[in-house]
Order: sequence, then C-alpha cells, then structure tokens
Amino acid sequence: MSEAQNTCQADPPAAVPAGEGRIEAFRRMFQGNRMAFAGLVVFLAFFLTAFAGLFLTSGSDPVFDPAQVRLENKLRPPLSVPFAGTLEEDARPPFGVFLLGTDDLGRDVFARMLQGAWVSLTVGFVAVGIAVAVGILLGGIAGYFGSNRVQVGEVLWACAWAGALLAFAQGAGRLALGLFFAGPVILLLRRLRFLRGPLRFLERGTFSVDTLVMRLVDIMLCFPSFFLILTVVALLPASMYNIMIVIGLTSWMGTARFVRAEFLSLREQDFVTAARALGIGTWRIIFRHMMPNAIAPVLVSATIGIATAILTEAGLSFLGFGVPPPHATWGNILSDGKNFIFDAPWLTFVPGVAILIVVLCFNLFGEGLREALNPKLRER
Amino acid sequence: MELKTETLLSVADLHITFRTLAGPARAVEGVSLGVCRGETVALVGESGCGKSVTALSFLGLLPRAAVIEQGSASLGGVELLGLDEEELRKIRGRRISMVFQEPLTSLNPVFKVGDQIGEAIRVHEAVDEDEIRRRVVTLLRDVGIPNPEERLDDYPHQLSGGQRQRVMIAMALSCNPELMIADEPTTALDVTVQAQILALMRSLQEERRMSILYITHDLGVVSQVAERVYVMYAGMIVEEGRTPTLFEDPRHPYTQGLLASLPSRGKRGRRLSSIAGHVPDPACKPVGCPFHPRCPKAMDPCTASVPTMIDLGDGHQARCLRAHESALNPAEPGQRPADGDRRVKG
Amino acid sequence: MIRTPATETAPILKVNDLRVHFPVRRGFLQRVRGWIKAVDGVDFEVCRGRTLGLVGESGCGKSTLARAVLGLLSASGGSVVYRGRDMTGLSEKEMRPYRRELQMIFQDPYGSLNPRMTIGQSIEEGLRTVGMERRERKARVGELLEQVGLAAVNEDRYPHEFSGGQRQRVGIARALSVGPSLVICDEPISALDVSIQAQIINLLNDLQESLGLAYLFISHDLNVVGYLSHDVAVMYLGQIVEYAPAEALYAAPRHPYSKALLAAVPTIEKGREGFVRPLGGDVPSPMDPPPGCRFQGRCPLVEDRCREAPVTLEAVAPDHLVRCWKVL
Repeated sequence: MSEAQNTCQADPPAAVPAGEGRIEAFRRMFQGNRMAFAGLVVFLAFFLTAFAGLFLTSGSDPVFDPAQVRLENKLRPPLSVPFAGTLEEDARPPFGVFLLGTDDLGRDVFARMLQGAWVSLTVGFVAVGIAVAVGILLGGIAGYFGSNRVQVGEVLWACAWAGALLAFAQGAGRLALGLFFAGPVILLLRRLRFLRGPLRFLERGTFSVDTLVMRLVDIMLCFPSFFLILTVVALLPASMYNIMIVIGLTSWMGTARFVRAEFLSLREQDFVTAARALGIGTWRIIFRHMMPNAIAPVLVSATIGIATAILTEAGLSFLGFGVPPPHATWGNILSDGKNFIFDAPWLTFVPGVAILIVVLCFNLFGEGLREALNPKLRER
Repeated sequence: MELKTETLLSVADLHITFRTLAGPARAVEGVSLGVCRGETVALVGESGCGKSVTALSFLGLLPRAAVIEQGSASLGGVELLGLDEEELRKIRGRRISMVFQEPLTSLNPVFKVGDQIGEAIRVHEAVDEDEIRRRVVTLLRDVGIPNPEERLDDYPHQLSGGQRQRVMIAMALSCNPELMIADEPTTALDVTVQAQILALMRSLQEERRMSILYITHDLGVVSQVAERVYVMYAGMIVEEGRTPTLFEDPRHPYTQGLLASLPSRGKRGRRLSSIAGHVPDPACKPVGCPFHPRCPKAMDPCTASVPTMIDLGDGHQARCLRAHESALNPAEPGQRPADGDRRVKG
Repeated sequence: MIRTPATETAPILKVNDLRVHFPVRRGFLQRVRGWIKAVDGVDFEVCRGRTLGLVGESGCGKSTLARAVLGLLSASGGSVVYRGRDMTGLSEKEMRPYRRELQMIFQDPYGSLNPRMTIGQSIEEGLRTVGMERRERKARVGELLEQVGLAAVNEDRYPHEFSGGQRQRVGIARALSVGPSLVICDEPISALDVSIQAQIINLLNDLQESLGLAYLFISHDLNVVGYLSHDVAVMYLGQIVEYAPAEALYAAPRHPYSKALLAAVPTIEKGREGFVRPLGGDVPSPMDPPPGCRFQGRCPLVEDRCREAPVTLEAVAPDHLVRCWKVL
C-alpha cells in the first residue's frame, strides 16, 4: 500500500454538509420546532416595537405622545374618535383615532404602551444580563476551583477587610485603616523565617471554594425574591436602574448552579486536560475553552428569565414601587386601570394581554431553545 | 469436533433500513446466516457494519426508525420477524437471551442483583419464590460468583465489572435459552477478566448445549471462542467459514486487510499494512461492492453490482469476484489446500 | 535504578520512586480515613527516539502515572526529572515553560477535542502559548495537519464532522504543535476501529522516526505494545512488576502476573485450542493495599513470605527486572 493511500485525506462522508456554518445550524435548530419559531418571531416583533416605541414617544414633540393630558377625552374606548372640538391640532392622536383608547387622564394608551415596552425590554435584558454575568462568574469559579480550599489566612484577610469597611462606614477611620493593612502585614511577616513555623496554621485549608459559593447561593435562595426586591426598592431612590440592578442581583442563583454543574462535568473531559497540558492559562481555559460548552442551559434559563424579569417589573410598578410616574410602564398602566375596571376594561386588558403574550412567547422560545440545543449537544 | 448440523437459527436475505434525516440508511443488506444447536458462531465487523442491528432484529428490539424491508429469521422453524409483542415476549429471555456490552448500564442500579436475575424466571415460568431463589443461587454459582447466597442481595454498584458481567450472563441463562446472543460482552473488561468470562461461556455452552451468537470486533477473541465466523462489512456478509480456515486462508480482501493490519510482536520492525479510506456511511454506500473504494484488488466489474457469495467448499464462502485467489498460493489461483493437509493452528 | 540499554543517548525523562496517593475523606469534618495508593514507587527512564510501553489493567495506576509525569496531578513523593531538571513540586507558573516539552494524546477521540472550537482553533491554542504571530500560526496549523495526514483545508471544520480516526490525528497534531520531545500516549487507539488502528500506529511510528520523539505508550492491548515498544513495563496496583526490552518480555515473561496477562490475551495464533486456564480473582482496588507483595491475592505461586515484607525489583538479566523473589 503506497504512502498516499495510507494517509487518509479528510473528506468526511458526503452526507455531512461541508463546513456547516453557524447560520445553517441556527436554521436547522428551528426546523422541527414550530413553537420555538413562533416564540422567536414574537420576540423579534417585541424588540422592534420597543425600539420603535423609544423613538416614537421620546423627544419634545413625539409622534405618539404618552404624556399629553386630554381631560375632555378621558376613558375613551379603543378605536374611538376624539370628541369634536375638544382638541387642538397638536393634541390630536395620529390617524385621528385613539388606537387603544385613553386612560383616566385622557392620555393615549397606545403611546403609553409603546413607552412602556421600552422599559420592559430594558429591564428584562439588563437585569438578566447582570444575573447571567454574576451567575457565570460564580458558577465558573465554583465549578473549576471547586475543590480548592480557602486558607485560614485568606478567611482572616476577608474578615479584616469587611471589618475595615464597616469601621469606615461608622466613621472609625483609624480602625478601618488598621484592619485594612492587617492582611498585607501578616503576609510580610510570614516571609520572616522564624515566624513561619508558628504562622503555619494560616495555610491550613478550611472549606472549599465550592462550599463557599454554594452556601452563598443557598442563602440567597432563602429570601423570597419578590419581597427582597420590594424591600430593597422601597429603601433605595426609585429609578429604573436601581430596579434593574436589584432584580439582576437577586436572580443569578439558577445560572450559577447550571454553570457549576456543567463545569464539574467539563473539568473531567480530556480536552480540558489537553489545554492544561499545553500550558494555557487558567482564565483562558475557563472563558475561552469551557464556557462556550456550558452556555447552553444558561441561554435557555436567560430567555425564560427575561420573561420573569418583565413580570417582576410589572408587579413592582403595579404596587407603586416601579419606575416613577409620569413615565409609563405596563405595570403602571395596569395599576391605573384597576380603579376603572368596569368602566374602562381596556385599561387592564391591553397591558395584561401584552404582558401575557410577551411572557408566553419568551417561555416558548426558551423551551424551544432547550429542545433544539439538547439533542445537538448529545450528537457532539 | 462433533458435527453440528441441526439448524437452530436461520436467517435469510435480511434487509433493514433506517429512516434518517439524510435519507434511508441501508444498515443491513441481504444478510443470511445460520447457527446450529450447540454451536458458537461469531459475527465480526467494525463499528457501523450492522452486526448489532442484525441481532436486535431477532428479538424485535430495533428502534422505531428501523424498518425490516424483507427477509426472514426463524428459530427452530418459528418465524421471528413480524411477531407481535405478546409472541415476542415469550421468546425473549426464554428461547433467545441477550448479553450486552456494558454491564453497569445494562443492570438496573436500584434493584438487587438477585431480584433482577429472578425476574426472567418469574415472568416466564410459574414457580414459587423459594424455587426462584434456589435457582438464582445455582445460577450464580454456575457463573462462578463466590458466596452466591450473599451476593444475591447486592446491588450492581457493589460488584466489580467482571462480576456484573457474570450476573448478566446468569440473567441470560436463567430460563435455559436455546440461543444466547452476546453483543461485545467482554469489550469493556480487563484482559484477565475477559479470559475468565470467555472460559465461562465455553464451559456453560458445553454443559447446556446452548448455541451462542458472539458479536464482536475483536478477531483474537473470535479465534478463541468461535467455531464458525461471519465477517460483516457495510451491512453485508462478505465472508463466512470455519474459524481456522478463515484465519489461515481469508479470501475476501477486507478480511485479508483486517488480518494483515493487526499488530503483533511478530510484525515488529515492519510497517503495518492498513486499509486506506474509511467505512462508508450507510446512507450513501458506493454502487457495486461496498468495499471497492478501499480494495487493493478492485477491478471494473466490482463497481457494477454487488458480487454474490462464491462457495469455496467446506462452508467457506466469500463475496468477492476474486475469491478464488488464495493468499497462500498466490501463483496458483483456484487451488485450495486439501482438507487433510490443512494445519489447524493450536 | 532502572537502566535502559546504553545504545542510545542519555534518557530525557527519569522517574524515581514516584508516588501518587489520594486521601479518602469521610465524615462531617472530612477526616482522612485511608489512602488510595494509585502509584506507589515507580521508576523508569525514557530515551529520545524510543518507546516505553506501559501495560496493565484498570486500577493499576497507569493513567494516574501519566498525569503525574505531566504535572497535571501533584505527586505525593518521588521525582520526575526531565533533562536534568526536577519537575515535581513546581507551581503551575514554573511548570509552564516545560509544558511544551511533554505532551499527551488521549484515549477518547470524542472527548479530547473541544466541540465548540474548530480543529484549526484547537491546534492554534498550543501555538499561542509558544508566542507565535497570527500569520505564522495559520501557516503552521496547515503544516501540522498535513503532517498527520489530514488536508489543510479542514481547519475550519468542527470535530463532529470527523471520524474517530481523523479526530485522533487532530489530537496528535495538537500535541505536536508545541514541539514536544516526549509524548505520552494514553490508550490512543483503543477506541478506534481495527482497520483505523493500523493507520494511527503507522503514523506514530513515522513521527517518531522523523521527529525523534520519545513515547510513553500506555495501553492494555498487549499486541499493540508488543509491536510498538522498545521496552515494556508491566504495572500492577501502582507498582512496576516487570521491566524488560519488549522481545525479552514477550518471549519469556518472568513475573507470574506478566505470564498470566500474556496468556490471557486472545490472539489468532493461539486459536481455539490455545486456551489456558485464566487467572482467577478480580482486579483489586488500590485502596490501602495489603502489606507484602501486591499480587498476593491472585498469585498461583503465593507463599507466606510474600505476605510479610514488600518485594523489590531485582535483575534477572542485565536489562530485565522482576518484582518477585520466587522467579529470580
């Protein structure tokens, strides 16, 4: 057998599409999954609506004005024409019709919905973004470094710095400074030969990194999240950013667990060992080699998390703790409408149905993603 | 060696196709084989050749995507393909039993070993619990597990790999089947444990006059356990015959290539000959003989149609247009060593 | 000390009395209850351009040994000396420059490549660590793929598009990317089809000739080891029980375990009649092994003396060492 025949040219069997790109893979994901596709379509529609809404309702003279008060035209039903002679030129709704009616101050509900869409979108994505970032970081650390034990010295150091922070907050400046430098000082002392022996207890291992992170997760899970959010939001000045951050910081736990679980199994895989054997740095291994393989469950839970975040924001607004008026959010509109539920049912239905559709479609999309990603992963 | 002629399992022209996204995949094409009573027959081939699919079809255990297009498989005269669930259940475990490759996943981890072995007896025979227990203990002793009375109450994870495989064999033996199908039973085991299991299977077969269909990719194991061998490639039987004959004088280029590519210390210092290319995907097999793209002896007629089996005498057949060329006497194609002069390697 | 035949240059890797013990922790306070002595006093040498075969069954510690030699596991005792430099006890950072000298290829072609990276990227990662520029890297990836018998155009394909044998070639290319002198092959062909195994074996041989690589070839397949290796070490429960040049070992094994192992391997030459009574018992667990000879539980020649004191490696011939006083 000749040399040329011995070395096999790599032409994989013709059945496999040559160089399958990301786009084809994406398209194939949704081939059999109508639900997921529908969810994706609505997702994109929502995205576009929110963007459009931002441009159409902001500025000094917006196309759809959410803040325009028209007291003569309050509580008008959807698709109704403003009463003749009540409105000036600039107060007229576009198309001459109140598309979704008006609320108790005569404000155009359609315009307010558009404005609210942007809030919901932002809150949903940013909150989930924060949650995912924190979850990935902590989950990755717990998964990769899991069995490493935190040393006594490191624990003391952390306590010292926490103490310093507290002392600083209470105004005891000098105490804070002292605690702050306690750590580095002990580190320096350990370099001295004669102290190395007695200070050896500082190197003893205590609990593992995995234990630390997981107990933190458990602690966070103990709090009923909605009430935690409520409490924090009530204490902080009301603003959209605070809400996003708070929701984000209270919903990272699921992601952390997923990432940790994936990392625990990935760590045993040969390609990770190979990367270590090649001398690739730890952080590069974690983020460039392992993370892309652990992302799948995170994507799924993130998609569903956006829906939850939107619901949470709506709930907060409904209770009056959301974005302050006059800025519209879907929860706001719902809240305003609850007093007029028999006179003007559209005030509750419209935002309610909108929230329902968006949340449902995100959930379907997430489910579809999970189905689509799983068999593919098994294939590989 | 006593002549074994009473046919137990007879498979004729079996065709099995899988429905896949890439089109129909012809996993098994025209397989015909036979196993006599008390005989050990090996079905050899690499991954993807269709050997496991063939065996699963006898028990009706094929996945839903598989369709048996044509052919028949009969056990002692009873047709197996196309039986309904009720009929199949009477055959599984009682007349045909199967031993799988990975004992850790083939045994249910939450049930005791004794219960799992006794289950087949419970299903197939109307015997009381004490009798079942007694028979399970006997079975465990037969398969060489020490202290069987205590091992009865162990869970699979408490046993070693070799012991688990013995438990699987005990399960397969529990209703005294006529045919045992062993699908790579020792691939996952260590060499010394494998040797024990092979010895066990030989002795059991001799005691019970059971037939064994041994499916494997390991030619060394085949030469030690099997009396006759079927070599499969790309869903077809390409060569069959008595084990010593086949290994001494293989006639199909695939068998020749396989044997030549096995490393051994006898070949030290010489380059191993290997078969170029790769196994074809069942969904897109080449026209004609499936081996021709990789075959060093390919000719033009090989690409036209699938060759028929050529009889070389004494049960030795090969599916190759050049089957009469023997590697033993290359200058005289068509001549076979006479029965009397054939050296049996031992 | 084990010596390899003095025909070659000095050994590039010397392992002395290497031990890897894992603590078994139980209870609330995670106290150490026992030790798994996966590797318990192993010595060997590997020379440039030569292959040392390491055979043994599951639980003998060969994979643990491989990882300890590479510094992926920390050793509990003994030393691993590479070109005169002791590598045991080095920190991750100190090890880094040595990583490119010692590489490994793995058993499972499906798990050894990152499914989310193209094979070109997988190979490039190694090149990044040696500080190559981007353009150079691309060119080198192509060269490496050709060297292992794959067309360079495939660098943008993902692992799942390749067969097992092809993936194994990619793994070899990745290991070669950093220019190692020693490659540890941890069962590289056991998961491959028989007809592909020969291709990979030939490739490994070719690379050894052209690049002067030293191999530590770990396998349970005695036929392959017999074909490929210059010297062979047989491991049992964390220790080397016999060490000899390949021809000598296969022609006349001395240790009862080596004999049983070689007898148990089914080969075509033996045929159906060559069936020998197999070794009894199961492969034992490396947890808290009994004092004395490790093989006492299954040895057909065992006596009381075997159970009392540990047995050392002694020479029966200039290059042939055995850990059994009964066969000296």
